[in-house]
Amino acid sequence: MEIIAGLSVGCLILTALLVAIKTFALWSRTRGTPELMLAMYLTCCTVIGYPLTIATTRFSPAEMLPLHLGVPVLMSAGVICLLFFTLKVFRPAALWARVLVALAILMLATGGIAFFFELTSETPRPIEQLLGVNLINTIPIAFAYFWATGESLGYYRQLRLRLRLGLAEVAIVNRVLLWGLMTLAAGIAVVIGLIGMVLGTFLSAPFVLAFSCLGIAHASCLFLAFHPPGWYTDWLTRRTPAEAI
Amino acid sequence: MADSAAFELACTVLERDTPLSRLEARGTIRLTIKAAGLDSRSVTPDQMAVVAANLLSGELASRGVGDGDRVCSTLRRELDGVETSGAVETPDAVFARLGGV
Repeated sequence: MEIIAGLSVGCLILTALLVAIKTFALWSRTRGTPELMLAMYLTCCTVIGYPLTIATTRFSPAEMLPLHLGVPVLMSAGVICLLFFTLKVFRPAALWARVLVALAILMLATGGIAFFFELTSETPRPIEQLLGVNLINTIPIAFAYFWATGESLGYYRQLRLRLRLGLAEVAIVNRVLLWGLMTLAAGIAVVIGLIGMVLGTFLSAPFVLAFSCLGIAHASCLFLAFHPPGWYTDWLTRRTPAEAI
Repeated sequence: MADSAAFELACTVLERDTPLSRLEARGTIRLTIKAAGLDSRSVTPDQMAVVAANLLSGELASRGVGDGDRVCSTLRRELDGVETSGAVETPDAVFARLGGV
């Protein structure tokens, strides 16, 4: 179990690091907002935030308070970047989307402040007992992932139709699908994490196995979407549009 | 967000060259481009021309318009004069760029 978990974490962090570096490099040339948001999201949530989140399960707040205070800030920053990525790419002109993003940021800020006061109080409760705070933090994170999934898979459905008429490229259609699946895997992991925290079985074998499988799926989608190996792009382009959909 | 110039032109041509009313013409174009995975607000002249070449004639036939091929040819010809407005970047353009890192 530990080997699978380690492999999953390692794959995910390395893949995210690779894609983040490449995306930062792209951003340095284009100065595009989506590139910056994607690179920041990967860096804050996956490359740095994910291993530090694991570290918080090894050290109590009393042992390492700055770690416990810093992780939510880092994760929130990453999630906000993901929200802005989805907003900018899929709904740049929609007022409702801006309102939802603002509400999600407000919830993250509220959860962060509540978490700060809880941890710095004289008798901080264990994280398993902070259901309200965990919910306030988790809802906007889950929303960010599932919103990205909904937008991506909805757009993927449109692109599939375009593919039949030669109005879309197979590689791009596939990339949108993989992005949707990646955010779906991450969103499911967030929900499972909350359930595990509520039940106090966050580090039990079934949960670790679920996180590991979702982590590998997450890493695979990320890698194939943004750094596809030659054999994969060849395989995609060899398929006719009818097969690809 | 307003409908694109290509969409408006297609509606105008259908209303002018077929017995369809304004409402029917707009509905027909809207449904046809939706079946192609496109959106009335962002469809470009090139995309509209492909839709006219592949789907519109059949849609018109199903609505009892006999000379659909001629109408589609007229539309494609007139679309040549429509300029693409590059105001909003589409999601597929962003994902194309992100893949070309």
